[in-house]
Amino acid sequence: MIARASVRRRRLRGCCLVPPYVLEHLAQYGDAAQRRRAIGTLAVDHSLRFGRAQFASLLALRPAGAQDILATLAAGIPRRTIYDAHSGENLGEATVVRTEGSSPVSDDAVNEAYDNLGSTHAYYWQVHHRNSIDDRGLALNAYVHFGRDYDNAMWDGQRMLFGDGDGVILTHLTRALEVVGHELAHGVTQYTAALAYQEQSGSLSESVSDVFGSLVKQFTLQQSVTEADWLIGADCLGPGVKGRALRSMAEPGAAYTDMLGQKDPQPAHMHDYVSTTADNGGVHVNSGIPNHAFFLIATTLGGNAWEKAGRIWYETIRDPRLRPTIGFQTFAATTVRVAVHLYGPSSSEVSAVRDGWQQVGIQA
Amino acid sequence: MRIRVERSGGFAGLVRTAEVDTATLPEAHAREIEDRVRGIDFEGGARLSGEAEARPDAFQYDVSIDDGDTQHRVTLREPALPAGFREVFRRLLELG
Repeated sequence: MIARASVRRRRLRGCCLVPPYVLEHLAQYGDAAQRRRAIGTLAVDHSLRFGRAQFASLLALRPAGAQDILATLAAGIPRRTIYDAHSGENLGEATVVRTEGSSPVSDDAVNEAYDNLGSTHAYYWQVHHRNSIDDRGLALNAYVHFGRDYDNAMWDGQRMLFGDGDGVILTHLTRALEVVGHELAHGVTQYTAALAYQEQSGSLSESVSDVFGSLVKQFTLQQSVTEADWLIGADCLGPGVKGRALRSMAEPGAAYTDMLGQKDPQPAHMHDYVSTTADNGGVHVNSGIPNHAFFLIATTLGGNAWEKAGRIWYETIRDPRLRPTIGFQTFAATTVRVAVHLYGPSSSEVSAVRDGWQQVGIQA
Repeated sequence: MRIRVERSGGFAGLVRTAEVDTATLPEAHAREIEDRVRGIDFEGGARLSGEAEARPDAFQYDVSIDDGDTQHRVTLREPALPAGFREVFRRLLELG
């Protein structure tokens, strides 16, 4: 598709060379080729305030043959609404505080949620050509200041809920881009692999969310695999924690040394798999194993993690043969099959994928 | 009354435990906690929690209560928490 080619070219150039008002003029009055390029560029840069009002007026013009381009334009734009839950848990009493295309407000939590939702949407669109969580433009609604001292952020199936944290263990829950990416990735999993949230399939669900959360951050900051910190939640640790982050994909088990008397419990290898009934079978603990496999594979492949490793992982969760209750071994085997399909059976990519899983104790 | 609540899950994966024996509390606090706990529909919450699909990054609460001759052992999960439970947990963390 034309817009996708424009996405790649723009990404390489890096910045917006043509001012938005010129692009909009070309989109309406240029010749066919100029219109295509202008609309493609506008579709890519979600940070331009090309909101729904302008889109609607463009739609009214309807130049011949531009229908699919206009659809692409819509797909590149998120539809965000941020609500303030006023420290309550009744969503019906929340108030709208920021809508798509509107200016920043005085509440940092609102702006952070807004920006991080936008960055996550942009990642899925620009890297995977996925139109929001359901690939059909699902509106992104987030509620900030949910509950009192609520030490959590979650995607509840339809919306993001952000607590404020208790200020000691967790704080500024809207601030960490990879946390927002993690939560929205649960939504993507819901619409693709639908991994059952317990035991190994649940640990895979958690790991997939950490992987894509980290990729959203790396892509937004344009970090290579060596520049990335591979940490989850560094920005929301409170002063009561001794450590760098909630989780480390590079070094599972070393993210923190003291959080309420506990150290980071994550294993990096199947030998140390934790059997427990808490946390739905330790889904936040055993996710360390597939997390580490992804880290090893991405760093072996080098460059930008989203280009090959991220692509393999994305195609894996979309594989129709995946069942909701799969374990680590089947998931690993699927990543190998996807890599074979994308890069060929004797490729260095396939070797890297197999080796990564082997190093964490899984024969793929 | 002896109450133990272990909260796990949440995106941070942190385990927090609140454990209180009301016999060791001042009279007023003991009465307050016992009244609140007795007013919670644990069995209803457990049933709803068991029926609903586990939501990613939701909190899980493993509750164990010894109230003289009755005992409860239930697992509760967001968002199917019975009314009043969150407040009780916060209070137990404060007192325990």
